[in-house]
Amino acid sequence: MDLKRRLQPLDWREPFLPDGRQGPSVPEGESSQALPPVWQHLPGVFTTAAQHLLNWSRANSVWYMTFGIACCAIEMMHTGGPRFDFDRFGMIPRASPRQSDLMIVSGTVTEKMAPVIRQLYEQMAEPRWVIAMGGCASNGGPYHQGYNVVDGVDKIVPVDIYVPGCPPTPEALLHGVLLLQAKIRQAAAPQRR
Amino acid sequence: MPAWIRRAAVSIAKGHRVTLDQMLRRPITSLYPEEPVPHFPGFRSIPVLKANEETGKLNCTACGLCARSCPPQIIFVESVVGDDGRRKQWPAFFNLDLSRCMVCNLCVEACPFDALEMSADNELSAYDVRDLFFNMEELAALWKTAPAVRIAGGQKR
Repeated sequence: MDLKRRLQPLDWREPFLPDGRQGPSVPEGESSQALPPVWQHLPGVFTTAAQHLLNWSRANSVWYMTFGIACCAIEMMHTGGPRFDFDRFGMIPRASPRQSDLMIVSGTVTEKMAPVIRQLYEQMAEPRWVIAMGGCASNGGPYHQGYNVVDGVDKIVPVDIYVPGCPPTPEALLHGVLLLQAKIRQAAAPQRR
Repeated sequence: MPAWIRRAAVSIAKGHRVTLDQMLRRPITSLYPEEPVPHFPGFRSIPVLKANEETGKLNCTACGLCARSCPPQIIFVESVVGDDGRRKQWPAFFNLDLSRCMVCNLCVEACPFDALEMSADNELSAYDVRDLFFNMEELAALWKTAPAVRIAGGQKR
Protein backbone atom coordinates (compact mmCIF):
# COMPACT_ATOMS: atom_id res chain seq x y z
CA MET A 1 0.00 0.00 0.00
CA ASP A 2 1.28 3.41 -0.88
CA LEU A 3 1.10 5.40 2.30
CA LYS A 4 1.69 8.71 0.59
CA ARG A 5 -1.28 8.19 -1.64
CA ARG A 6 -3.44 7.19 1.28
CA LEU A 7 -2.46 10.22 3.30
CA GLN A 8 -3.43 12.47 0.41
CA PRO A 9 -6.51 10.62 -0.71
CA LEU A 10 -8.07 13.32 -2.84
CA ASP A 11 -5.14 13.11 -5.28
CA TRP A 12 -6.61 9.91 -6.51
CA ARG A 13 -5.28 9.22 -9.98
CA GLU A 14 -6.56 5.90 -11.12
CA PRO A 15 -10.19 6.02 -12.15
CA PHE A 16 -12.38 3.01 -11.79
CA LEU A 17 -15.16 1.92 -14.04
CA PRO A 18 -18.49 1.31 -12.31
CA ASP A 19 -18.08 -2.45 -12.47
CA GLY A 20 -14.66 -2.38 -10.83
CA ARG A 21 -12.40 -2.58 -13.88
CA GLN A 22 -9.43 -0.29 -14.13
CA GLY A 23 -10.08 2.70 -16.32
CA PRO A 24 -7.58 4.79 -18.29
CA SER A 25 -5.14 6.33 -15.86
CA VAL A 26 -4.42 10.03 -15.80
CA PRO A 27 -0.89 10.79 -17.06
CA GLU A 28 1.72 11.42 -14.40
CA GLY A 29 2.23 15.04 -13.52
CA GLU A 30 -1.30 16.17 -14.24
CA SER A 31 -3.86 16.94 -11.63
CA SER A 32 -6.48 14.33 -11.00
CA GLN A 33 -9.16 16.92 -11.56
CA ALA A 34 -7.84 17.81 -15.02
CA LEU A 35 -9.51 16.42 -18.09
CA PRO A 36 -7.51 13.92 -20.13
CA PRO A 37 -6.13 15.23 -23.43
CA VAL A 38 -8.94 15.51 -25.91
CA TRP A 39 -6.96 14.13 -28.82
CA GLN A 40 -6.77 10.76 -27.11
CA HIS A 41 -10.54 10.56 -26.99
CA LEU A 42 -11.38 12.29 -30.24
CA PRO A 43 -14.12 9.83 -31.29
CA GLY A 44 -15.89 10.40 -27.99
CA VAL A 45 -15.63 14.15 -27.59
CA PHE A 46 -19.30 14.79 -27.15
CA THR A 47 -20.00 11.73 -25.05
CA THR A 48 -17.02 12.56 -22.83
CA ALA A 49 -18.40 16.02 -22.15
CA ALA A 50 -21.79 14.52 -21.41
CA GLN A 51 -20.18 11.99 -19.11
CA HIS A 52 -18.41 14.73 -17.18
CA LEU A 53 -21.71 16.53 -16.80
CA LEU A 54 -23.34 13.32 -15.61
CA ASN A 55 -20.53 12.63 -13.17
CA TRP A 56 -20.71 16.14 -11.80
CA SER A 57 -24.43 15.89 -11.21
CA ARG A 58 -24.20 12.40 -9.75
CA ALA A 59 -21.39 13.31 -7.38
CA ASN A 60 -23.31 16.25 -5.99
CA SER A 61 -26.64 14.52 -5.46
CA VAL A 62 -25.81 11.24 -3.76
CA TRP A 63 -29.02 10.25 -2.05
CA TYR A 64 -28.37 7.64 0.55
CA MET A 65 -30.62 4.95 1.92
CA THR A 66 -31.33 5.07 5.62
CA PHE A 67 -29.98 1.64 6.39
CA GLY A 68 -28.74 1.43 9.94
CA ILE A 69 -28.37 -2.04 11.34
CA ALA A 70 -26.22 -1.46 14.45
CA CYS A 71 -24.51 1.17 16.55
CA CYS A 72 -22.75 2.79 13.57
CA ALA A 73 -26.19 4.04 12.55
CA ILE A 74 -26.05 6.45 15.49
CA GLU A 75 -22.97 8.08 13.99
CA MET A 76 -24.62 8.08 10.57
CA MET A 77 -27.61 9.93 12.04
CA HIS A 78 -25.17 12.30 13.74
CA THR A 79 -23.53 12.96 10.39
CA GLY A 80 -26.89 13.73 8.87
CA GLY A 81 -27.68 16.11 11.71
CA PRO A 82 -27.00 19.83 11.89
CA ARG A 83 -23.41 19.64 13.15
CA PHE A 84 -21.96 17.66 10.24
CA ASP A 85 -24.50 18.39 7.59
CA PHE A 86 -24.96 15.81 4.85
CA ASP A 87 -27.09 18.31 2.96
CA ARG A 88 -24.00 20.38 2.27
CA PHE A 89 -22.98 17.63 -0.17
CA GLY A 90 -26.44 17.23 -1.64
CA MET A 91 -27.07 14.03 0.30
CA ILE A 92 -30.63 13.43 1.34
CA PRO A 93 -31.85 10.37 3.24
CA ARG A 94 -34.27 8.22 1.30
CA ALA A 95 -36.36 5.51 2.85
CA SER A 96 -36.79 3.61 -0.39
CA PRO A 97 -34.05 1.74 -2.28
CA ARG A 98 -35.66 2.74 -5.58
CA GLN A 99 -34.84 6.40 -5.00
CA SER A 100 -31.40 6.04 -3.46
CA ASP A 101 -27.94 5.98 -5.05
CA LEU A 102 -25.85 5.06 -2.04
CA MET A 103 -26.22 2.43 0.64
CA ILE A 104 -24.26 3.10 3.82
CA VAL A 105 -24.06 -0.30 5.46
CA SER A 106 -23.62 0.85 9.04
CA GLY A 107 -23.29 -2.04 11.41
CA THR A 108 -22.85 -5.73 11.89
CA VAL A 109 -24.14 -7.85 9.03
CA THR A 110 -25.67 -11.02 10.38
CA GLU A 111 -26.49 -14.12 8.40
CA LYS A 112 -30.16 -13.37 8.79
CA MET A 113 -29.78 -9.81 7.47
CA ALA A 114 -27.52 -10.72 4.54
CA PRO A 115 -30.20 -11.75 2.01
CA VAL A 116 -32.15 -8.61 2.88
CA ILE A 117 -29.12 -6.47 2.15
CA ARG A 118 -28.63 -8.22 -1.17
CA GLN A 119 -32.30 -7.73 -2.08
CA LEU A 120 -32.20 -4.04 -1.18
CA TYR A 121 -29.02 -3.62 -3.20
CA GLU A 122 -30.62 -5.21 -6.21
CA GLN A 123 -33.64 -2.95 -5.85
CA MET A 124 -31.49 0.14 -6.11
CA ALA A 125 -31.26 1.74 -9.54
CA GLU A 126 -27.89 1.93 -11.26
CA PRO A 127 -25.51 3.62 -10.84
CA ARG A 128 -25.33 2.63 -7.21
CA TRP A 129 -22.62 2.74 -4.61
CA VAL A 130 -22.01 1.10 -1.27
CA ILE A 131 -20.06 2.38 1.72
CA ALA A 132 -19.00 -0.19 4.33
CA MET A 133 -19.05 1.87 7.50
CA GLY A 134 -17.16 0.60 10.51
CA GLY A 135 -15.18 -2.50 11.27
CA CYS A 136 -18.13 -4.89 11.28
CA ALA A 137 -19.26 -3.99 7.79
CA SER A 138 -15.68 -3.88 6.48
CA ASN A 139 -14.25 -7.08 7.87
CA GLY A 140 -16.43 -8.53 10.60
CA GLY A 141 -15.02 -6.30 13.28
CA PRO A 142 -14.85 -7.64 16.82
CA TYR A 143 -17.43 -10.26 15.85
CA HIS A 144 -15.44 -11.82 13.02
CA GLN A 145 -15.46 -15.16 14.83
CA GLY A 146 -19.17 -15.06 15.51
CA TYR A 147 -21.22 -17.98 14.30
CA ASN A 148 -23.87 -15.76 12.79
CA VAL A 149 -21.86 -12.81 11.50
CA VAL A 150 -20.87 -12.22 7.89
CA ASP A 151 -17.19 -11.23 7.75
CA GLY A 152 -17.67 -8.07 5.80
CA VAL A 153 -20.49 -6.86 3.63
CA ASP A 154 -18.21 -7.17 0.59
CA LYS A 155 -19.01 -10.87 0.59
CA ILE A 156 -22.57 -9.93 -0.35
CA VAL A 157 -22.45 -6.70 -2.33
CA PRO A 158 -19.57 -4.84 -4.04
CA VAL A 159 -18.23 -2.15 -1.73
CA ASP A 160 -16.77 1.13 -2.96
CA ILE A 161 -15.47 2.78 0.21
CA TYR A 162 -14.30 1.21 3.46
CA VAL A 163 -14.50 3.51 6.47
CA PRO A 164 -12.54 2.18 9.47
CA GLY A 165 -13.47 2.89 13.04
CA CYS A 166 -15.61 1.45 15.77
CA PRO A 167 -17.77 3.40 15.15
CA PRO A 168 -16.31 5.92 12.71
CA THR A 169 -16.62 9.52 13.73
CA PRO A 170 -18.78 11.77 11.55
CA GLU A 171 -15.76 13.39 9.96
CA ALA A 172 -14.40 9.94 9.12
CA LEU A 173 -17.66 9.11 7.36
CA LEU A 174 -17.60 12.48 5.61
CA HIS A 175 -14.06 11.71 4.47
CA GLY A 176 -15.34 8.47 3.00
CA VAL A 177 -18.12 10.35 1.25
CA LEU A 178 -15.59 12.77 -0.22
CA LEU A 179 -13.57 9.82 -1.51
CA LEU A 180 -16.74 8.41 -3.04
CA GLN A 181 -17.45 11.74 -4.74
CA ALA A 182 -13.93 11.72 -6.17
CA LYS A 183 -14.56 8.21 -7.45
CA ILE A 184 -17.87 9.19 -9.03
CA ARG A 185 -16.24 12.15 -10.76
CA GLN A 186 -13.61 9.84 -12.26
CA ALA A 187 -16.10 7.35 -13.65
CA ALA A 188 -15.69 6.69 -17.35
CA ALA A 189 -18.47 6.30 -19.85
CA PRO A 190 -20.02 2.86 -19.94
CA GLN A 191 -18.73 0.74 -22.79
CA ARG A 192 -20.98 -0.78 -25.39
CA ARG A 193 -21.47 -4.47 -24.77
CA MET B 1 -60.72 40.95 25.67
CA PRO B 2 -61.69 37.41 26.47
CA ALA B 3 -59.18 35.40 28.41
CA TRP B 4 -58.77 32.75 25.74
CA ILE B 5 -57.69 35.30 23.17
CA ARG B 6 -55.07 36.62 25.57
CA ARG B 7 -53.82 33.13 26.27
CA ALA B 8 -53.58 32.34 22.57
CA ALA B 9 -51.69 35.55 21.85
CA VAL B 10 -49.23 34.87 24.64
CA SER B 11 -48.58 31.34 23.46
CA ILE B 12 -48.01 32.49 19.87
CA ALA B 13 -45.60 35.16 21.11
CA LYS B 14 -43.71 32.54 23.10
CA GLY B 15 -43.36 30.36 20.05
CA HIS B 16 -42.11 33.23 17.95
CA ARG B 17 -39.64 34.11 20.68
CA VAL B 18 -38.12 30.63 20.41
CA THR B 19 -37.98 30.90 16.62
CA LEU B 20 -36.29 34.30 16.84
CA ASP B 21 -33.72 33.00 19.31
CA GLN B 22 -32.82 30.15 17.01
CA MET B 23 -32.61 32.48 14.02
CA LEU B 24 -30.18 34.82 15.73
CA ARG B 25 -27.97 32.03 17.07
CA ARG B 26 -24.62 31.29 15.46
CA PRO B 27 -24.70 28.26 13.15
CA ILE B 28 -23.16 25.15 14.67
CA THR B 29 -22.36 23.38 11.42
CA SER B 30 -18.68 22.59 11.16
CA LEU B 31 -17.34 23.11 7.65
CA TYR B 32 -15.43 19.85 7.74
CA PRO B 33 -13.43 19.56 4.52
CA GLU B 34 -12.35 23.19 4.68
CA GLU B 35 -11.80 23.44 8.43
CA PRO B 36 -10.47 20.70 10.69
CA VAL B 37 -12.81 19.42 13.35
CA PRO B 38 -11.51 20.12 16.87
CA HIS B 39 -11.17 16.96 18.92
CA PHE B 40 -11.97 16.62 22.56
CA PRO B 41 -9.11 15.59 24.87
CA GLY B 42 -8.81 11.84 24.93
CA PHE B 43 -10.12 11.36 21.41
CA ARG B 44 -8.41 8.38 19.82
CA SER B 45 -8.53 6.70 16.45
CA ILE B 46 -5.69 4.26 15.69
CA PRO B 47 -2.71 2.82 17.59
CA VAL B 48 0.61 3.89 16.08
CA LEU B 49 4.18 2.90 16.81
CA LYS B 50 6.31 5.35 18.73
CA ALA B 51 9.99 5.82 18.03
CA ASN B 52 12.76 7.18 20.17
CA GLU B 53 13.12 10.83 19.29
CA GLU B 54 16.89 10.82 19.73
CA THR B 55 17.91 7.58 18.05
CA GLY B 56 14.95 7.25 15.70
CA LYS B 57 14.48 3.58 16.53
CA LEU B 58 11.17 2.07 17.48
CA ASN B 59 10.48 1.48 21.14
CA CYS B 60 8.86 -1.86 20.33
CA THR B 61 10.64 -4.95 21.65
CA ALA B 62 8.24 -7.46 20.08
CA CYS B 63 7.15 -8.89 23.42
CA GLY B 64 3.67 -9.55 22.05
CA LEU B 65 1.69 -8.26 25.01
CA CYS B 66 -0.31 -5.95 22.75
CA ALA B 67 -1.21 -8.87 20.48
CA ARG B 68 -2.36 -10.86 23.50
CA SER B 69 -4.46 -8.05 24.92
CA CYS B 70 -6.14 -7.18 21.62
CA PRO B 71 -9.79 -8.30 21.74
CA PRO B 72 -10.33 -8.60 17.95
CA GLN B 73 -6.78 -10.04 17.56
CA ILE B 74 -5.61 -7.73 14.82
CA ILE B 75 -2.01 -7.15 15.93
CA PHE B 76 0.55 -9.50 14.37
CA VAL B 77 4.04 -9.09 15.81
CA GLU B 78 7.08 -11.33 15.68
CA SER B 79 10.63 -10.71 16.84
CA VAL B 80 13.79 -10.97 14.82
CA VAL B 81 15.71 -14.24 15.09
CA GLY B 82 19.44 -13.61 14.92
CA ASP B 83 22.17 -15.72 13.37
CA ASP B 84 22.80 -17.44 16.70
CA GLY B 85 19.23 -18.62 16.84
CA ARG B 86 18.22 -16.32 19.68
CA ARG B 87 15.41 -13.86 19.49
CA LYS B 88 16.34 -10.21 19.39
CA GLN B 89 14.37 -7.44 21.00
CA TRP B 90 13.38 -5.98 17.70
CA PRO B 91 10.23 -6.64 15.69
CA ALA B 92 10.62 -8.46 12.41
CA PHE B 93 7.13 -7.28 11.51
CA PHE B 94 4.38 -5.46 13.27
CA ASN B 95 1.15 -5.59 11.31
CA LEU B 96 -2.14 -4.02 12.24
CA ASP B 97 -5.45 -4.69 10.52
CA LEU B 98 -7.20 -1.40 11.07
CA SER B 99 -10.39 -2.54 9.38
CA ARG B 100 -11.15 -4.62 12.47
CA CYS B 101 -9.70 -2.29 15.10
CA MET B 102 -12.20 -1.40 17.82
CA VAL B 103 -10.11 1.50 19.21
CA CYS B 104 -10.24 0.15 22.75
CA ASN B 105 -6.79 1.43 23.88
CA LEU B 106 -6.01 -1.93 25.52
CA CYS B 107 -2.82 -2.41 23.49
CA VAL B 108 -1.49 0.92 24.72
CA GLU B 109 -2.31 0.03 28.30
CA ALA B 110 -0.65 -3.36 27.96
CA CYS B 111 2.60 -2.06 26.46
CA PRO B 112 5.35 -1.91 29.13
CA PHE B 113 7.86 -0.12 26.87
CA ASP B 114 5.82 2.92 25.84
CA ALA B 115 5.98 1.80 22.23
CA LEU B 116 2.36 2.33 21.24
CA GLU B 117 0.30 5.47 21.25
CA MET B 118 -3.19 6.29 20.13
CA SER B 119 -3.33 8.75 17.27
CA ALA B 120 -6.16 11.16 16.56
CA ASP B 121 -5.97 10.80 12.77
CA ASN B 122 -9.30 9.45 11.65
CA GLU B 123 -9.28 10.29 7.94
CA LEU B 124 -8.40 6.75 7.00
CA SER B 125 -11.05 5.69 4.51
CA ALA B 126 -9.85 3.52 1.65
CA TYR B 127 -11.03 2.19 -1.67
CA ASP B 128 -9.85 -1.30 -0.80
CA VAL B 129 -10.02 -3.11 2.49
CA ARG B 130 -6.44 -4.27 1.98
CA ASP B 131 -5.31 -0.65 2.17
CA LEU B 132 -6.31 -0.71 5.84
CA PHE B 133 -3.64 -3.29 6.64
CA PHE B 134 -0.71 -1.36 8.06
CA ASN B 135 2.83 -2.60 8.48
CA MET B 136 5.56 -1.34 10.78
CA GLU B 137 6.90 1.41 8.56
CA GLU B 138 3.47 2.84 7.87
CA LEU B 139 2.55 2.86 11.55
CA ALA B 140 5.80 4.64 12.38
CA ALA B 141 5.15 7.17 9.62
CA LEU B 142 1.64 7.72 10.96
CA TRP B 143 3.11 8.49 14.37
CA LYS B 144 5.23 11.22 12.82
CA THR B 145 2.49 12.81 10.76
CA ALA B 146 -0.71 12.33 12.71
CA PRO B 147 -1.68 14.29 15.81
CA ALA B 148 -1.26 12.16 18.89
CA VAL B 149 -3.32 12.26 22.02
CA ARG B 150 -2.59 11.61 25.65
CA ILE B 151 -5.08 9.44 27.42
CA ALA B 152 -5.24 9.18 31.18
CA GLY B 153 -5.77 5.43 31.08
CA GLY B 154 -2.85 4.90 28.76
CA GLN B 155 -0.20 6.72 30.74
CA LYS B 156 2.43 4.80 32.57
CA ARG B 157 1.96 4.23 36.25
